[in-house]
Amino acid sequence: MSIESSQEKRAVFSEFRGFSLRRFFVLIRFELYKMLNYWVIRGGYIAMVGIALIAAYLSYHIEQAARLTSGSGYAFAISLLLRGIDIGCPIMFLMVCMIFSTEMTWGTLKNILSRPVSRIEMMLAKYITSWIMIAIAIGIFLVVGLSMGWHYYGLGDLTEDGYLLFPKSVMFKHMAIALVLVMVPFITISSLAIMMSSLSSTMGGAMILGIIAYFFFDLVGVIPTNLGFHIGSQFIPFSLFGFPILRFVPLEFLGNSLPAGMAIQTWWVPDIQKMIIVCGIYFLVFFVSSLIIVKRRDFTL
Amino acid sequence: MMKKILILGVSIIGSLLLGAVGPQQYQFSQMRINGTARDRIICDLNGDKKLDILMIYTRASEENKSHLAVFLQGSAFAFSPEPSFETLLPSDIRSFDCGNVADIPGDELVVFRDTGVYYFDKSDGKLGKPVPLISSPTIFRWAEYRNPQRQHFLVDFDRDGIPEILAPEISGPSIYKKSAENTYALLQKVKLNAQLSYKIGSWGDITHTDDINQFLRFRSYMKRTSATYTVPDLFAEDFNGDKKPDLIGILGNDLWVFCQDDAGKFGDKPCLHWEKSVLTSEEKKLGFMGEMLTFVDLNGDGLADIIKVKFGSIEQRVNIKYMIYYQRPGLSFPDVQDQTISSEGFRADFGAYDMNGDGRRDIVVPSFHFAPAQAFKMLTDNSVKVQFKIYLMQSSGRFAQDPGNQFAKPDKRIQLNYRINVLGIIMDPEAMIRGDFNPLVYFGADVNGDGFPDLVADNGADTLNIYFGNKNVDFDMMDASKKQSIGLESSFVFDFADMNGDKKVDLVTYYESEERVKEKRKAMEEARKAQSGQAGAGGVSEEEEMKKIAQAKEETRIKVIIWK
Repeated sequence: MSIESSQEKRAVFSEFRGFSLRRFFVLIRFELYKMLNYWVIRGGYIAMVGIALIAAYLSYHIEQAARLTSGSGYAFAISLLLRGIDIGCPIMFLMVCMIFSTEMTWGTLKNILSRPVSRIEMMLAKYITSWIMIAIAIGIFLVVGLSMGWHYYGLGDLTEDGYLLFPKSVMFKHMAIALVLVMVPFITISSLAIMMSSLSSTMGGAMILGIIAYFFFDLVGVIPTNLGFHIGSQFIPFSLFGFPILRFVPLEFLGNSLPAGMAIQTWWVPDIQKMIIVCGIYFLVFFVSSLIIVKRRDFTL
Repeated sequence: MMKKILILGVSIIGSLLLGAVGPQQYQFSQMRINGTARDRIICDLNGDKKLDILMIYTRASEENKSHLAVFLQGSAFAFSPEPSFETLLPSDIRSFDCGNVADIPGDELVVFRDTGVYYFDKSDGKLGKPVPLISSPTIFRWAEYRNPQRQHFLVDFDRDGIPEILAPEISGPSIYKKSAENTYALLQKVKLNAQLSYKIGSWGDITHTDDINQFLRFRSYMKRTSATYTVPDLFAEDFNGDKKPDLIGILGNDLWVFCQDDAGKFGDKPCLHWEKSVLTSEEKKLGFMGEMLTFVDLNGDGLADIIKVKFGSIEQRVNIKYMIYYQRPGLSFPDVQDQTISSEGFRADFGAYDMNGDGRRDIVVPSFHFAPAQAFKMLTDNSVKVQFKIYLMQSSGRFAQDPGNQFAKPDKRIQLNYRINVLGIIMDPEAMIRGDFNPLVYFGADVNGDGFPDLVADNGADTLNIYFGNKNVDFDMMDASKKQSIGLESSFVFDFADMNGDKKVDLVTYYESEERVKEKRKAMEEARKAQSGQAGAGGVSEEEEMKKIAQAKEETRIKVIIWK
């Protein structure tokens, strides 16, 4: 390493006193660069493309064989997105688990912490990196879903029996809103992944701990809603605590509305409100816990 | 002065607001019987112009015995929790109906027995002995024991207030009319034969047969004959627009109309025999496809229109098509349907009500979009969304349809969320197996008497929602404040009837009690354990276990809502 370049780097890191937006973006860029160049993460994304393509092919042919068809490219894309975020969620979860645990396994955490970067800054950068990684994964499912939906059924204005239901602008607008809302439960899922991986000192440990926690909450979500307990006169279903399953809520709201011919008057419906509140509470718990763990943990050993 | 105007203004606005959102008042009654409900009928038994409830039920402890519990409507539109009186019915009662067949106040319970048609005497204020109305063997003679079932066999063809008796027979239904001597005599036998199918020999299933001879090879014998005959569905409605009820029979793809003449009789031959299949030969080979037919005067011209329902298609299993053939003068119909309504779903039923008060019937069809989103909805919320498409009949006598388009255009869409107890279905699939999964969703009940039918819908989670109808037929779905919600146990069995004669349609629901459902599950669990050998050699038999399940806290509850 030349003297000039080391001086240059010193100059860069000299900015790491107090919070700097530029430095924060640099951190995110470094995190993204590191993760997207890691072969396991790339393998994960390739697996998602493969899963989406195979699911699209199988779905279409199963639909044709069963004579129960989606009927429109949008319904097909929404259905594929639902399957994608269903099957792809554990993969995304494990990928997010790696954001922190790779630092431990590769021993790079000590290097970062030896720089004038606060632990909170580092964690915030990892959180945002995880959201970008999840957005890329959902983007893959969206692109494959829309492409295959267009290929099989077409993606023009949505019609039924020759009558216009919704123009394509309305369809794309509501799909965009749904995808933004899908990010809410995924942000909470990623906070669980980062929190669990911050507890472990190895990548394997982080993944095992993380996947146990993920499936615990995922299974709680499928407990029938008539099972629960009472707080006063209020019935609280156990399933309310299973937040990962709430990732389906925006897309199922979309899928049950527009393709069925029902206009969406508002997205601020009880199901979405419940999803935001539950995911918001869980996010705060996981986020604050992860910050406290990383802040207090001794990484020098 | 200003203060007075202000107070007056506020009070007027306040009363208007209260009037708009004020709930519809109702009288609630809950009754019970110690048995399992089999069938029921609602009629005015004691002649007080208020409808009473007659419930046929059985007890698991008494095989082949049918009981009748009568709940008489009391003052203030209330019912007492226990039956007003009960009686054990003769074992050969096959079907029943209610009507004013005797010269005593109120309706009589009329029954088909093996030996004829009877009504129950009410001379002591309760149901007395059966009195014969027609003494000739009925179609049910020699049949095995079955619980009595409701059959609409009392029909007032001549509109004189005294019903005629329509008796099903193999050679065609017989019409019995009350004579001047107060006895029922045969008016006419209508030539509408039952469809007969038969089989020579046994069914050949070695596990379910009592016939060893079918397997023997050492001798020849005359094999048994099994026969099933089907009398068509019979309707008494004006079909040809002459204001007189005609006799209409429907079976398969056939519709027969026997027009009533001025003498109150029906011709030897039907005035219309309409037969049509809309399935192609290729479609007939596919198992999930089918066709049905019915009739209703849709466009208010007094002439009944035919609706042919085709379910399934080569491309889409869940496609339902309602093909409408409008009747022309002279009892003629076009070869090709005039209009077609298309929908999605497995349920082929539909409603035809005048929903906007224009004197013409509109059509409401259920539509269930089979999307994975539905499966996820069931997973996350234990609920499904069911959509209804509403087609409003135009003043032109046709539903809206764009030129060049082969399908009618829906005018309104309504979506309801129905909660499904997934755990309940897993634990107690009996209801699904029996086909009793018939959630309470009804568009035809005008509960507030404003002339517009209201939408009464159970949400599957013990709440009954009433969406009040209006001229726009939007049921104010977007305005939650206009909906009335009542806590009422979800039911699959229900009746709508104007119980107190105030032109507001009231609701009667029937349930197995919650305690019974729990006890049944417990008994089933015990039976499962016993069958898996835990009971050992000294354990109870399967038959005894089934009896135990059937007897577990056997109780039926009835809930009545009478709108004030």
